[in-house]
Amino acid sequence: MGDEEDRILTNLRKGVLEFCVLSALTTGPGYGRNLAQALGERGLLASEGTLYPLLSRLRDAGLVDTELTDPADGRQRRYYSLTTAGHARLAAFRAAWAPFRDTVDDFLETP
Amino acid sequence: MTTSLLLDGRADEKARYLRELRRELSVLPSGRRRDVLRDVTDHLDDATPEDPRPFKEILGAPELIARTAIRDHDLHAPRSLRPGYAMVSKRLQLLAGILYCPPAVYGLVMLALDGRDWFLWDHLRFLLQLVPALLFLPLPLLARWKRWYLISVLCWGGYVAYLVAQLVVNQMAVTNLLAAELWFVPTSMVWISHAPVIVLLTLALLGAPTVLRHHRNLR
Repeated sequence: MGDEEDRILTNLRKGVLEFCVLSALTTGPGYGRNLAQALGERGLLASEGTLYPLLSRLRDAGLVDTELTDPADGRQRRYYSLTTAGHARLAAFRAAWAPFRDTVDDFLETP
Repeated sequence: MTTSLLLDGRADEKARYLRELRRELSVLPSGRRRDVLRDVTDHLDDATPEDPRPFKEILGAPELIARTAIRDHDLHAPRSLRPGYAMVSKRLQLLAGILYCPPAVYGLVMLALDGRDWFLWDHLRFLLQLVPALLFLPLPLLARWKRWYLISVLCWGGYVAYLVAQLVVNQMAVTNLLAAELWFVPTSMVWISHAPVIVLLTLALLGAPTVLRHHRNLR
């Protein structure tokens, strides 16, 4: 991947990553490594560790919540889940994203 | 035996990685720093048994994580981040400022109590010689993260240049010039504090987090 393409992707990721994280949690709670791998495999993270500052901010903003599993069930893990505010934020993004994406697609495809 | 050595090596690598990460994240507010460190530690505990790749490859370089955290902070905060006092370099700069205060205050008090007229050349000289420290010591403490390293280097350079100028003027005995005498012939009270201040400011620069030194090269 060229430097220019890399830079463009870095900038695009900045704007959408938090909504991809919120979306990844709509199917149910997930823990850090699990989320990092899912997003990393699709090229949405520069590296797996860069997910954690974002998760911390989402938690501070009340968009996700954390819960520790019972140590008696094996390895203790911190699970992240969407809050009501998180669901609302994601719905607002989805509503804005679809027409925006279509507009950009139209623009880029017009010769 | 081999397995045990491998596990020891992995534990060392993990401790080293977390130590570096802690240093890089020291720029951040305490809550964010604590959250990220805890999550990364959990990730490493999870990854260790089954993933043989180096931790920097799995998670990314510590400075990259810190850079992401700072950028994220700046995107959602009204003002750019000012490094916190959890950062060892900033504590050293603060300590340098604190060390400078007692001789300066003592000198001012003695001048005020010496029973002579207030405005004498000695007084002016003493006050003028406080100016470089009053300028160079607080500025790095106020700097935002993008300029912290540059301002720290410039202030360190300015301070060192001033001391070198003092030494040169004294060696060459250029005291016939009034300006040289006022600015560069040291008063004993001020001179006492220069050595530890320079040592602390130098250590602060040498121990600065990579994310502040090379932030333009990190993506």
